[in-house]
Amino acid sequence: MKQLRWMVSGLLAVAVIGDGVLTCWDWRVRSHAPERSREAVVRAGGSGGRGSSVSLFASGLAVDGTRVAVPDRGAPLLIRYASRTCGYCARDTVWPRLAEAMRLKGVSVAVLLPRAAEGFDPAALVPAQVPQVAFVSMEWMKRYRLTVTPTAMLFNRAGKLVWAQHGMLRPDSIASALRVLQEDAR
Amino acid sequence: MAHHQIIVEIVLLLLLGGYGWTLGREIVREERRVAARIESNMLLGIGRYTGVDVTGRLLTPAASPGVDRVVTFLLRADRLGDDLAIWREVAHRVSDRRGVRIIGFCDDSQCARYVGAVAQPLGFTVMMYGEVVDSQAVLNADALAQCLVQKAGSEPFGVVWRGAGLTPGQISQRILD
Repeated sequence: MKQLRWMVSGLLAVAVIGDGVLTCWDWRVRSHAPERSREAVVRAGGSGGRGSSVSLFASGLAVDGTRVAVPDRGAPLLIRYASRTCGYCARDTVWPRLAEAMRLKGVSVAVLLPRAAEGFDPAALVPAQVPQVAFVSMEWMKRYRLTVTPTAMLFNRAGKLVWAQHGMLRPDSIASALRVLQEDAR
Repeated sequence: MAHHQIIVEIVLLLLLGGYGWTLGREIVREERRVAARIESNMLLGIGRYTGVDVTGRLLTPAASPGVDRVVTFLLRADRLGDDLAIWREVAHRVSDRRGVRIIGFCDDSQCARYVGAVAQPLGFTVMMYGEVVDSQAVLNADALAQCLVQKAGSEPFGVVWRGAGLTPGQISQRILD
């Protein structure tokens, strides 16, 4: 009987320690989601080439092949990789708030389409009248890997990717992006 | 009393075990999700290859009537002379076969400027700007030294075109197989 008690107590101790480790691990995975997304978005070996990522993106073209008005210098840029046909993009209720919070901080916002045929109706765009980029150069594409819509990418004034979020934004995404922007400005 | 204590401890053990199992599964699932995203990017399908060519025209070359096979590849600015020579020859060899459309994607603006200024016809279209999905598929194939071949109504497949001893004749043959 005494042996059984010792065994159960021992197993209980192991379970408590194990669960503690797993909880820390899970917390780390969740709290580092933007960093993990940023690492996954950056294509290995693709950092070369001329020009900053913001200026390369700003040279992208609209659905009709004309230039889009994306400010290419002096302001950070938030890109939303999304499409009209993506259900998750439509259901992402955090995006309008993130875009507005970024706009108030002087961040330019643009939408990047997976395909030109999946462009948004300008009236349905959030924020309204935000530029839609349908065609980008390989120089820009060589730097990033876009796997899911929606994906949000935040570039600083120097054109460096400082924050990203794969999939639908989470309630803490706004605070996380603002914090990164603030830290980067220091 | 001792019995009760053991029962409580066993119940606690089961609860903690269940919690740990759930957490562990969630962590593994998240890791797999990240890996699957990168994996799925390597298998991206190809669309209609709409893009803007080196002269600034918006084109969908693969949508022309009669096109049943589209070949796409990356033109590398640092080896532009070699790449153009190979693909000129490949284009010439497959030109007898109607319905094959070859599309190169310049990997930077220098390549686009150079190709845009080439007076001689190349025998294939060269894009300066592409759609994200197509561009990623071309880049992923290039990382494996491949071009992508898409036959009408089927999934694209890669054909190695950069390799020791590979001739334009062999590349053309593989494209047409």
